[in-house]
Amino acid sequence: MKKIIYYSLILLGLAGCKKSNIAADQRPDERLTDAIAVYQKQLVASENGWIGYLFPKGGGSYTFKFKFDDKNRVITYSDIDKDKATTGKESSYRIKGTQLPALYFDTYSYLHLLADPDPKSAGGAEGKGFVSDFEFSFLASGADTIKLQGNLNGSNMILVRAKATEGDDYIDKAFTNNNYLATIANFKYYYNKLSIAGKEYNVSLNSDKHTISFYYDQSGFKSFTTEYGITANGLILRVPFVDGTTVVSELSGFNIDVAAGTAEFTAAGTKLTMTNGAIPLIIDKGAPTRMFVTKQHTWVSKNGFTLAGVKDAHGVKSINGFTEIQYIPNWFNDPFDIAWFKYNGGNRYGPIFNTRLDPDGKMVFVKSPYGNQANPSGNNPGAAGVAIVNKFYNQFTEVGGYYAFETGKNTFDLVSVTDSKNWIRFQ
Amino acid sequence: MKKEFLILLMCLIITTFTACKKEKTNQTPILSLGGETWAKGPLDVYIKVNFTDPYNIEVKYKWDPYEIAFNKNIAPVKEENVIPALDAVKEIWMKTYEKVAGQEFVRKFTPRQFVMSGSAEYNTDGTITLGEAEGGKRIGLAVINSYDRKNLDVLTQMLHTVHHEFAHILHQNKLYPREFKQLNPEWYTASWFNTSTKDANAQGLVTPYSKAAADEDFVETISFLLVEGQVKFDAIVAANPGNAADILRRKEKIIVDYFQKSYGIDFRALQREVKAGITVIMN
Repeated sequence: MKKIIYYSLILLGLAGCKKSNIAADQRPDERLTDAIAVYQKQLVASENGWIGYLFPKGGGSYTFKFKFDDKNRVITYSDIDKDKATTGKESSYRIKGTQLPALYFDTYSYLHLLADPDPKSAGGAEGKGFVSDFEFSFLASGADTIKLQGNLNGSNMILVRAKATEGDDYIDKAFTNNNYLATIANFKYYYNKLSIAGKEYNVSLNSDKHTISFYYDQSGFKSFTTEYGITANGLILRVPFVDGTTVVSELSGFNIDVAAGTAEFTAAGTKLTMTNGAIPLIIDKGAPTRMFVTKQHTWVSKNGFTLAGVKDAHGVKSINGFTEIQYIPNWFNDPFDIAWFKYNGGNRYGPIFNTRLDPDGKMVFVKSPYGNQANPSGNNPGAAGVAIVNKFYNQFTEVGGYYAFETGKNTFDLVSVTDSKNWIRFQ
Repeated sequence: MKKEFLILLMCLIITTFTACKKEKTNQTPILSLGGETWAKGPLDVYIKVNFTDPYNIEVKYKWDPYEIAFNKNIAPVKEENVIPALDAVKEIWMKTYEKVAGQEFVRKFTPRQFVMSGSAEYNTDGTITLGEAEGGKRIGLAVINSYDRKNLDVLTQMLHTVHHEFAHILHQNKLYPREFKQLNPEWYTASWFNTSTKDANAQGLVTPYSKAAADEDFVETISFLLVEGQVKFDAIVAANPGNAADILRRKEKIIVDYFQKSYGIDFRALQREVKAGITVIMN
């Protein structure tokens, strides 16, 4: 009996030994420190830096180039505008062990303009900017790509190791390329048709927000919209467009002929031609309701109408200090809407109208007086300005109305029903 | 018996070994404790030389969401604004107290940490937070990205915050006379932001935020007398004759006495130094 007790004591002792062996394995803090070191090394190791495709939570996409060094410094280029695409800015970064290892861009640079809550910085909304991030968790990493997610707002960024050919002028090339793609908006009509594998699609490119949309007929209206990352000679779709066996993930080698209304490019090794035309393949009957009723939004146009390929044909930008047109449904007591022209530091002036949603998918804006309000109402921007606002008002309230197409998160294009040469983009 | 004794001995030895082993697994300390590190740049050197070494103050200029409202959209600082803003803090706040009360005083009472952020903090009630202090330990310096030494409003706003927070530390060490709390208790409210500056002045308070509590009123009045200055204070008094003027003057007197009696500081001399400091930074 006693022996049994002794042996069990010995066994207990042995069991104790085993327990202490477990502690020799790597502890969480060791693994975290190792992970940080690995990421740090990986970021610095890329000789030509990294191309960053940022998809802010607030919509759209931006292309960056980051060059990290081993002294917590990073040089940034961005396609936000020409200046930022050509001139790099140095700032600071660090990798911090939070719940996940996280990459902090910890002093101000181009990336932060999109997340700046002060509207004076880059024109975003007060308190949230363009709803973006500058503090990212590492979600996954391969040899040449790193997937990041914003800690605050959940924006996504993909870092791709830059090739030797993608030097410091890469972002400038991408910026120039996007401007080239923007000339598609100078085609005579709004609609562009693309045939892939015998099937036809209408394609819309929003070069301001960097989105691409496909509209087609598949026992009714179908649409697909995604952001694109702009590259030096084409664009990469954030989410590939899939329709049956057709998969489009990247478009490259653009050749745009504005006069002829054609754009040639290569997708998945196939040469394709997009052609401009007056007639839509199919219309989105639900879009007007989504725009007017579902989304409580102030719709902003920065350029006014495009008429027959001429951007800002009414010259709204020539109004003194013009910033934007704001179409606000139900500004007055239901159902009176307004389109404010914002100009010269907070001044506003704009026409009053009603919005009518027709069952056949048309959105019609009807000139309408409201009580004893002047129409247009607000602060008069001078005779020349008033003339421009009235031109806009007349076009906007065209009796035929508009078809609406959703080209991204909170982005709609309105295309005149009677003449598809006339359209306006709200976002 | 002997055999059993041996086994018992073995058991004991084994137990001892086990115990030994346990002691030997003394763990290495948890990694990456002791704060973050990064390659030091010119900003880090400036902060070390001007703040950390002489006053034991840490200045955090790099983004750290856990030091500020981590659930809000706030921008980090522009590096080019860090040194100019800190220069102003040094000239218009630290140096002024140092001249009037001595270096030891400043070393003893300064907060231990400055946390800088680029933008303001936008609150859901429509107000924005321009600076914050916690427990006499830390002062938040916000809107650094709009800092402009030539812009009196920007400069005043930033230094007002610093002097405000420092005054909190002073009254947390030695309380001001109770009499101050009795001057206008009827105006203290949590919804202070619904009052305009004009209305607050007419009630005998220098700013709307003075209405938040007696402590806030006390430090706002100090900060106003120092940063906005005596001339502006006198203007408020002149514009609000009667009871409001009387209350404001009594607050001023309590403050001047408080500085003299509690800390041996000549408040009028301090006002002169702050004014001179603002002139130095702006020119």
